[in-house]
Amino acid sequence: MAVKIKSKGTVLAMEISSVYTAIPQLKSISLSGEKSETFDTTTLDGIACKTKAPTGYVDPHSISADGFYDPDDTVMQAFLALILAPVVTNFKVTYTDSTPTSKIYIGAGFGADISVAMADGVGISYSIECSGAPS
Amino acid sequence: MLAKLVLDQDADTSKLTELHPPVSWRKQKDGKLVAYFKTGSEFTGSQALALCRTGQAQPADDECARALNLNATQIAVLQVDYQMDNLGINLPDDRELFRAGVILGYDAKLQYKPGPNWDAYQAAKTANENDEDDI
Repeated sequence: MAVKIKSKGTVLAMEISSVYTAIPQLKSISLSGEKSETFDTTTLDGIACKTKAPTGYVDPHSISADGFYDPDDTVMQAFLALILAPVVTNFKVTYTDSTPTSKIYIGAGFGADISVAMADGVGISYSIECSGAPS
Repeated sequence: MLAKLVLDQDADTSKLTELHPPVSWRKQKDGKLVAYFKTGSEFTGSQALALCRTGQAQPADDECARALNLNATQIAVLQVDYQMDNLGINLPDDRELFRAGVILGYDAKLQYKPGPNWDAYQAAKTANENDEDDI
């Protein structure tokens, strides 16, 4: 039976020196965009409904996460360093089910937006363009 | 320069070299084996310093302690902060309870795991509620 897993306690970790290191103070994590690619197979003599077929390729995930920003934090500094000097880096998402389950994503492109607003703490939005399939 | 991990940490096996300590393996719910470094695993050089700066490791020689340039309290604060990040404890109230030793984290159902000060906290809470009832 499918189990409802709560979001609370989910961890996004990045690889630093071969050790998965939790990114601190996250408020949300989003894994989106994985999609099998298709091409239009409609022909002039075809039926009214257009037809499509898979190309056999898959668009990989993008990971985005929002949290609070601390310019002195070592993990955040390590992530921001990847933007200017990108190196393929593995990221791991660990869910809070009983054993817990985790998935590894290969990060190839990185971005971060820092936001300052009167009614909120200083925030950071991470974006990670993934490559290949998660494992 | 030498440092020892202060908690078990998942390992990225794609970047392991002979400079890394040996990994152990555990099975997660879906049967996948996950590599991890055990508490006490020793790291050397710049890796040692990086892991101390995130709060994942404790300096194990003078050279590392000098390079880290933090006192014992500052190191302890870093380590407690990292433990919370690693356990996915992001809510400010829960972080306070963790720091105070009231909780150790969340169980599989995401209820609090009682810490060493759990009973004292519950007793104080009950006493406080009774006082409010009297008013």
